[in-house]
Amino acid sequence: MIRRCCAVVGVIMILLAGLPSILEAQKILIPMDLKQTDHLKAYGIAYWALTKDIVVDWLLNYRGGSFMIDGLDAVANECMIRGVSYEQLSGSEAAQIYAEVGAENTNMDAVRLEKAPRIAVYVPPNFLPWDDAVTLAMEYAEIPYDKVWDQEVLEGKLAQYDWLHLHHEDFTGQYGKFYATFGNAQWYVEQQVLYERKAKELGFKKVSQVKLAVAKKIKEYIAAGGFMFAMCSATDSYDIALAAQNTDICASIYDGDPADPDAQKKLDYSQCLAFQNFTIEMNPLRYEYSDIDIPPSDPAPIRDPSTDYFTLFEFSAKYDPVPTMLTQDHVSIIKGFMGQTTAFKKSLIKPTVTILAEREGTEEVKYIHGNYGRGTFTFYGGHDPEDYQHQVGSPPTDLKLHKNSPGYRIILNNILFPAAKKKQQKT
Amino acid sequence: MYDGMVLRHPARLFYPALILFAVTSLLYPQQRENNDLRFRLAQSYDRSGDFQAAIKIYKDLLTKDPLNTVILNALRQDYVQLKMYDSAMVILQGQLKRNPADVSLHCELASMYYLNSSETKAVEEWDRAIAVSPKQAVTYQAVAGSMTQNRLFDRAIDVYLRARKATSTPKLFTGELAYLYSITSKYEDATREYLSFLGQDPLQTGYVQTQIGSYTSHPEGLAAATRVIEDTAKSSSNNLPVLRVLAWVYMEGKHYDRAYDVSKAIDEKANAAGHELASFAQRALHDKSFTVAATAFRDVMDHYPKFDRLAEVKFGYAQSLEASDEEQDTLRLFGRDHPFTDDQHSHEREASMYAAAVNAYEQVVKEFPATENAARSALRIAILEQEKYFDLAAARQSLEQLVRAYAKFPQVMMEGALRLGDIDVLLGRLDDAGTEYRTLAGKGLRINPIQDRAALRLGELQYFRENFDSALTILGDLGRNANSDVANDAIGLQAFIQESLQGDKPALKVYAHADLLRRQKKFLDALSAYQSIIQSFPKSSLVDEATMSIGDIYTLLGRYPEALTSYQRLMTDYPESITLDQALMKIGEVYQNGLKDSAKAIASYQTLLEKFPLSIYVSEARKSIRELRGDAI
Repeated sequence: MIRRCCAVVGVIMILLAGLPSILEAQKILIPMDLKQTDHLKAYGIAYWALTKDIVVDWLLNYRGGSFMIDGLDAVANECMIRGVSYEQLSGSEAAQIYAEVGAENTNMDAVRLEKAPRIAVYVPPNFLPWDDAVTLAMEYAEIPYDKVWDQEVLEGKLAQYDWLHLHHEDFTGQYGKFYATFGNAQWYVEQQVLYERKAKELGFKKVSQVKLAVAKKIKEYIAAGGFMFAMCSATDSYDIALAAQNTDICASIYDGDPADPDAQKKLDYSQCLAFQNFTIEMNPLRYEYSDIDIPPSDPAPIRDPSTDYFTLFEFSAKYDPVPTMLTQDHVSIIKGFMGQTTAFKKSLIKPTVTILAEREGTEEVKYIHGNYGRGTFTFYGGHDPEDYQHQVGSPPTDLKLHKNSPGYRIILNNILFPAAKKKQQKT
Repeated sequence: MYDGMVLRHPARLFYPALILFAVTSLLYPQQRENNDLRFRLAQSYDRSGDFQAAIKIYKDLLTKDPLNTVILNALRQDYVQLKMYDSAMVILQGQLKRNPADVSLHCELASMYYLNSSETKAVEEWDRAIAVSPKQAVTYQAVAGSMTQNRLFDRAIDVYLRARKATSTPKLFTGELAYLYSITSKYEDATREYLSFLGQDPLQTGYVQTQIGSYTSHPEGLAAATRVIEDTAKSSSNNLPVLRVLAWVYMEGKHYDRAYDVSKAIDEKANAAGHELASFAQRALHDKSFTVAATAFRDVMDHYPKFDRLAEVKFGYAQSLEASDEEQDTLRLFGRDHPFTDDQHSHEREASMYAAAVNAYEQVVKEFPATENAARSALRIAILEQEKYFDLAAARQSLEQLVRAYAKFPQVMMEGALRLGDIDVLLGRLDDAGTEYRTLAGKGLRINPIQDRAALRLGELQYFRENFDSALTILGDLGRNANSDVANDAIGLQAFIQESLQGDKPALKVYAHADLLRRQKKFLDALSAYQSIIQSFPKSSLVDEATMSIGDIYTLLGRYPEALTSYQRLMTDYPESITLDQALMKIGEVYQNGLKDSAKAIASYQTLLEKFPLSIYVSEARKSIRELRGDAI
């Protein structure tokens, strides 16, 4: 009897010995629902914590995709200073949340973020941060990044990075098809000369050839396990460049010689990451690459911004953690925004690609994700989530005025996604 | 017989020939029409992009008419469309055999070689084109144009330069070269060419500035352009168009001091009698380069006493002397007062600084008495007397004169009247102030923002005079107009009076008096008045406000430790006060700007963030913390 009591006491002692570490292990919860004061900077806090080797758990679908971080004073301080709402939890409160998130009957899960992703942004040398939504978001969230361009990519430097963002580049070598409107503008002419010179320096006769080489290198980077994120025209122009690798789709105003009249027939869709069966726009004066973009940019679509919304799909957090991570948001219906490539025509998306968001009841797909080799790619249509119809020369968006932008959150989901520890899927 | 035979034989030949001629005559137009139709069909194939079908027809047509240039050119273009450069070259070579001196054919052939990746052969062909007529500028133009079309800009530049040598015309193709240099980022060369162009046509200063301006937005473009223009100006110091471009490029680079020297030189050399300098001075003033602006205005005044716009120049001069880039205190944490001045002697220093400005304004008033510049000068004098010299009597006198003398400039007159009321408040002439404000505010619809400001002042005046009901009526009226700039201030004071009136009227009376003393900058008297509230009405809801005001006055007096004690007392003794976030912000400011203690400033801002995350001061507190810890934000 005494022996049995001793055994029970022993078990209790062992349990109690472990208990303080649970109770004392306070946590900081950064809620990402409507209570968050600055959703965008919250991602910056998670990133900052990772740079300090502080454990971060991403609680998928829990209060808008909240972050659970070790309850250190430094974290609380940084949240306060950056204006990010947080809640201090006792060990038991945190445990309760973990239990709720992990319960089989809830569509939630906890994903451990392991390390701060090394980020590269593919931009030309004369790039300004305000011209690109992703760099705007990173600057605002205080997430550091490096800039790379053709030379760095071709030299294989992408291997140094976990995540690559493509600025709204034109991989077809048609300089954004701005010729009709800006063909005589000094910036356009200088840009074309600069690109041509760089192409020659790198041993290519044409800009379209160097862009294709870069596109292929990026594809190799993805195949080797890289994460690529592209917005606006970088999405469709990337796939078009890959598809057109055996032909010439550039008119003489872009590369000095005529386009191949049979270019359309020579497209090789098997080279594309996301799209297939599209028809390229061969008119060099039309501000559009292909019929992937919907609504087409030329003529400029007339649409009422107050009725333009897209809907994020919901995925199973436990069975499909990747699309779940990419769609974490505090709202599921998000206001639309245009770009040179606004959205993707559903019928032209490869069946292997996951649709993450669409404009309900239409052919317009806003946000897609797919795998290639050991890596992934994500395409997000539109130019700036908080500037409905961004134009060349438009003033930069001040994200201090859009701290809770659901559209910008999507970009930042992508930045943190490579930090997630890969765990075996349940299916 | 013979004759007959002879006669008969031609007749025998004549008739078939006649028939043949008749048939041919009938068939030839038909055939020509048929060929035309086929040519048009081929062209329509071209338009639809079916080049193969078009080529077939062109080839067929050429069998009948092998030298037809129109068909040959059409066929050649189709070959180019299909990148069949060898076939296109065969046509061109054939055409060149027939017309070896055709420069454009040589250029076309060179383009084909280039497109076919034979740059060396292309260059040889372009050389052959030049050799056709090496003394003619037009030859070089055609060749350089062909190279430019193939985006060989550097080669095109070389050809234009060769043209200059070959034709012994050093200024040939300046526009073309300048453009090519600018798009290839050779900004020094581009600038040289544009200046050369200006030398050829001195009336094109504006055009040249626009062209150079296309690359001066890049730092390297600006530096290169400045270097070249400076060098050119040195070697031709009497060249006015170049000097104008030099002054312009200095202003582009914000080097107003250098631009001033150049503008002065232009003015002298052009006998502009001050007009060049005056224009420069206005731009410098507009661009906030006040010292240079003042010097330039002064020059005009000194050297051209009969200048036609002298009133404007003198007013500009006075403005330049007075103006400074004072930072605005957007938080208005300490109301109308600005603490944390550098030292106690700053007022004296300011007074000596502004003496010249006052003098300049007085000159305008004296010399151009009936002008709007004089009215504005009179207003500025009064403002300086009030704000910089603290000579309220003089300021009052100036404003009275202004209101009387410049009624025909209503905006200036109203601004003067409002300020006159303010000075009356400072002097304790509350009745006079009331009259000024009342007259200005009017009774009907207020259309000028100055009228709203006057009405707010009237409400404040009623508050200072302890006429709280009257104050509430005025303030309530103002607060209802959400479009008014003064609505927030009106609502704030209205709410304060309403809350304090409930059971605290005696304390409110003392508080209003203390506020008046503070407005009148009688800080020590105000301090005593606020302290008396704490002593006499210790349970009043105004005690926390009084404690805050005491802290503010200590801050304004530079007595920072006492200010901190006061704010901290507020924190400890009145934990329910709604002003605690403001107190923490002020503690931070006193540590940061008064005592220069960054660590304690950060601690105070952090406490504010912790305890009052929804305060209106949080973003400013965050910004201050990040500045103090040296974050790159």
